[in-house]
Amino acid sequence: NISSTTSSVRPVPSRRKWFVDLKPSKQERLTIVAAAAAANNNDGAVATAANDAVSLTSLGFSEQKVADLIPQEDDDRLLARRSWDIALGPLKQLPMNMIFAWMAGNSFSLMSIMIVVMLFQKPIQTIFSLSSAFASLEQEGVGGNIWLLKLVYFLGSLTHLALALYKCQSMGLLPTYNSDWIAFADQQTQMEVTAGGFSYF
Amino acid sequence: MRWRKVFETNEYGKIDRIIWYDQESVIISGQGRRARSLRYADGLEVWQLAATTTNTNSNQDTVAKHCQVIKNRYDPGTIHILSDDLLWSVSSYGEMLWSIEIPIKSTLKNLFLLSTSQYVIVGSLDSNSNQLQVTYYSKQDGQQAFSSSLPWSFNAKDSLNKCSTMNNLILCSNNEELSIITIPTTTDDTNVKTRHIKASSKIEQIRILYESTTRSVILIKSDNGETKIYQFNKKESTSEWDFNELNIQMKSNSFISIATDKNLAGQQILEASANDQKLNFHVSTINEQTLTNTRSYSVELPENMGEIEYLAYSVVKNTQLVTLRMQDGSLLVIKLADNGAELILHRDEALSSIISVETFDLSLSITQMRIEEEFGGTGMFSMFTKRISSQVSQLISFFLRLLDLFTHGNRNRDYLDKQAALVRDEFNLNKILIVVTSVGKVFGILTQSGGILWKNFFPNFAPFEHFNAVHVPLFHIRSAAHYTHEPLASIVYRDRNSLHDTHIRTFNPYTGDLENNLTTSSLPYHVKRVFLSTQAVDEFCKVLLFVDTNNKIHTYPSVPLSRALSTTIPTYIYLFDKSEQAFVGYYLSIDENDQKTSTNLKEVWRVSFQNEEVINIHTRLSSDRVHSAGIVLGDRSVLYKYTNPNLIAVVTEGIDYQKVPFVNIYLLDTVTGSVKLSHTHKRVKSPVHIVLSENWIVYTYYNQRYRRYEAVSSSLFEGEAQYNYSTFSSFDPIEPVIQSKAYILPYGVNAIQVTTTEKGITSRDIIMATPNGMLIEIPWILFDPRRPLDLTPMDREEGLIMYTPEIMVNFESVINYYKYVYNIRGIHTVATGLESTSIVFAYGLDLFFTRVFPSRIFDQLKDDFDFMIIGWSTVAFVVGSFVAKRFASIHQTKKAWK
Repeated sequence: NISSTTSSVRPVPSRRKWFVDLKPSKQERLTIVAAAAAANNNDGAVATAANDAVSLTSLGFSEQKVADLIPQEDDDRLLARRSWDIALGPLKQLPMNMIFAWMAGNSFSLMSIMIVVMLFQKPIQTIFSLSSAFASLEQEGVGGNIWLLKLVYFLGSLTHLALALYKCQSMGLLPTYNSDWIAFADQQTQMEVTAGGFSYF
Repeated sequence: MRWRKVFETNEYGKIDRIIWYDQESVIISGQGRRARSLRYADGLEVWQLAATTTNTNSNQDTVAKHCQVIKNRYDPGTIHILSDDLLWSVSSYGEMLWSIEIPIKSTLKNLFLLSTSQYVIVGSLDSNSNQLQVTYYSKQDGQQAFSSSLPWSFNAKDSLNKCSTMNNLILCSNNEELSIITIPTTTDDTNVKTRHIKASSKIEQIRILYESTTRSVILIKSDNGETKIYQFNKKESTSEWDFNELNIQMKSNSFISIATDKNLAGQQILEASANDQKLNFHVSTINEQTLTNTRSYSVELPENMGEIEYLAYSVVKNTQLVTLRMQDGSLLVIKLADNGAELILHRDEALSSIISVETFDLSLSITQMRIEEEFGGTGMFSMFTKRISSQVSQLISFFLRLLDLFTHGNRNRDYLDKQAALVRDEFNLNKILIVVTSVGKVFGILTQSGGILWKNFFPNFAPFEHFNAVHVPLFHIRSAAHYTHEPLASIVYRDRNSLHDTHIRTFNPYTGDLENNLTTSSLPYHVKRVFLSTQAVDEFCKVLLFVDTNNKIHTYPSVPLSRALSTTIPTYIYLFDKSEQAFVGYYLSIDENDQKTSTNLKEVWRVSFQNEEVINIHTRLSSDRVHSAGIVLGDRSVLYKYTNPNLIAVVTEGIDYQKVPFVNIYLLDTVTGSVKLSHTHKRVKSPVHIVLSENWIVYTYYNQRYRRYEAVSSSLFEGEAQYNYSTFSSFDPIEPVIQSKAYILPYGVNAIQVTTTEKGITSRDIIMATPNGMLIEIPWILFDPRRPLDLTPMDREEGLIMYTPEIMVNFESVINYYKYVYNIRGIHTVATGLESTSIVFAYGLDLFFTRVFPSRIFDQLKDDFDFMIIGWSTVAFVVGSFVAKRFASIHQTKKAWK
């Protein structure tokens, strides 16, 4: 937290790259004085809190956000590129996963099972984080074709799932044969009852 | 027990006579073909001799062999043995003195063997001329000295049954007359003298009680119960004998035995009789013609043991000992002393003749019962009140128990322990075994200790004949599952005296108490077969169904057949008729509203065997469960099993037109009468031991050509598709595919059985009892008929092992370790509450009980599982994590200060 505060910027209408206002405002000066007084009187814990308060409102910090001042046409191009980057992300990872899957082999070992678990886990995670992946884009206000992007992203994840299923199939983990269901078969009911044996006389 | 010697199971192990010496005894067995000597001190077999025979094949088995063994009274170290046409002499030191073969003639039968100081005399009956030919052989070298003949009025069979020999006398009973024939002992004297003793009615039995060179005592028993005892005294310097009657008042059921002792002046005679649970003895000394010094003893027996079957009286170092074998197979040794008789040994030898075994679950404990009750309700409100009330009662009983512990301490601990032994354990591992023995004694045995819980003796007991074995039907009338009702077991047996009468005895397997409502001795029909109903009738009790000789079916107790048998599923009954050598199948049709308690059976099929004789029928265990309907192959397809529960295995034996003996095995469907499998084995000898389970059969036999024991395993499959996945009917047009393989066994087989588990999920093991006393557990996978000749990856995927003809048995699979058990006749397996565990009970001469785990212990923790380490490490981790949390926060704070 301490380090993050130093890079903040104060809003200035001119087109300079960045600037830091080294002159503390009146309110900031007041808090520093109050904190110093408290540190002298009380125990360490309060002093730390006061210290935090000081560092939170260190020099150059501003509560206000700075508007991005990149020209509109440039922004749109960059935004489109970034959004397609996000949307195609899963698809781009597919070749790597395929190599992984191929290398794991079809035998059962700790490695191959871990890779199969990973193959399933990743696309499911990406599908669930679909909205958060596009959250920043939505904030930017790209509303028009975001559904298309989401669809592409979703389909990309599905290819991963398909790969995982194919892997399971080739490893024999999918219950696609009769033999996989035989344990659940009920016992046959008998249509006849017999009794008897040798006769005593 | 100091030592024991188990003889062969074949004819060489059958003891003909035992001759007792001071240090050792000579035992003649195998119809006079084997002689061996056992030392008393350590049971060591000092020597063994086999008779030298040249003509073994001439008349084997066709003529009933006859054997006579005598100890030469004038030379006690010499034993003469007459075995059919072979006469041989052995000395008690294990030296074969001589052996001769008496020339065979079809009309001549060697019957009697007598001995004198110089000669061994053989009496042979010439059936042509009705003369007894008496031949004298020299005692020293067996040379024939001379012979004479005398008229003889009995035929060969009567002579054997009604005559006995004693010194140089032949005693024969002829209705009311006892003839005493004196055989001359020297060449000079050739007079054969015959004298008679009259009895009041027909003589039933002559027994020689005591025999010496100068004096003998015999007992004559008439069929009106009168018993007389005669004393024989040798006349000076002749071969003739005087006799006189000893006046003893005897009861009809009493036994007599005589003991001599060097210290005693004469012989002591002991009369013993059994009376309910009491044994009465009268000991007297024989004085010339009268009895003196009569003393009476009596001893209370711990239970009813029936009549006396054998009595021996002996005086050892001034201690009078009486050894008895009772009708129930008990061995008793009673010491007679001045202060009365004392029972010093009682062994239940009946346990070595078990013929039927059933197991019962132990009763639920009170808490388990409450749990059953607690979850027993149906309505929501009733269930709720039940739970509350039962939990309150649990709380009360808990406090009462605490109170009891404080006030009484451990005083009634023994009683509680005994009660606890009868309560079912958590996994239902401990059971109670009900065993029926061939003498009519029934035992309840606890499996956890092997202790006998109770015993019942049924005096008029006779088992049913079952091919070459005996058989007693033993049924679960009510199982232990109904905790509100005590379980019941029934046995059905014949009457000893009138074999057509059938008795039913129903008892509680926990206590042995008879249930008199379900016990009867009089059924108004002759029973041909008995079996258990498929449905429980009153109070969860099943009923017995009897097929009588008119092919009518009856219920006992009398209930309508429609209640005892299912009306929706048809019932078929099959019976094997031994005289016709045919299986006959009957159909039983029951109308739902019919109240008849008996009905006629309709014949629907018949399978008869020609030129072969059925020697055994084998059915699958009633507890057999099949869990999976098929086998998963390497390519992940399914091979469906043909699990027909109506199959029985039939073993037949015969001799084909080339005089080659063969054995046939059939799998017969008892609903349709169709044969599903038939195998022929040539040059093969029975006994055939069979295991029939799931969809497979394993059987063993002796191969005479290669002189080894072999096993054949066959499996039946429906194929790649199932005809009907939900129901099975024998009428389904399924032609099962059969796969078979034969294997060579490393040992012979006495009995064979398969393990049983509750659900049938666990893989199967074959338990095999071998003649050398081992019980071997062999996985069925080794007998799998699908074991391939060359192993493909697909087979390996399936888990098959490559076929090798030999079944390798490593010694780890011997489940009784060095506790060898001999002459096992049967093995009983039961499922337990744990799927991994099966109970094995082997019975025969010895009994053995254990648990086996065919698929290892997969549903329980190992014995060496360390609860302490797990418990303490869990505690340590919890404590450690709290400590670490504290330290971490301190560390964080310190770091923040920096």
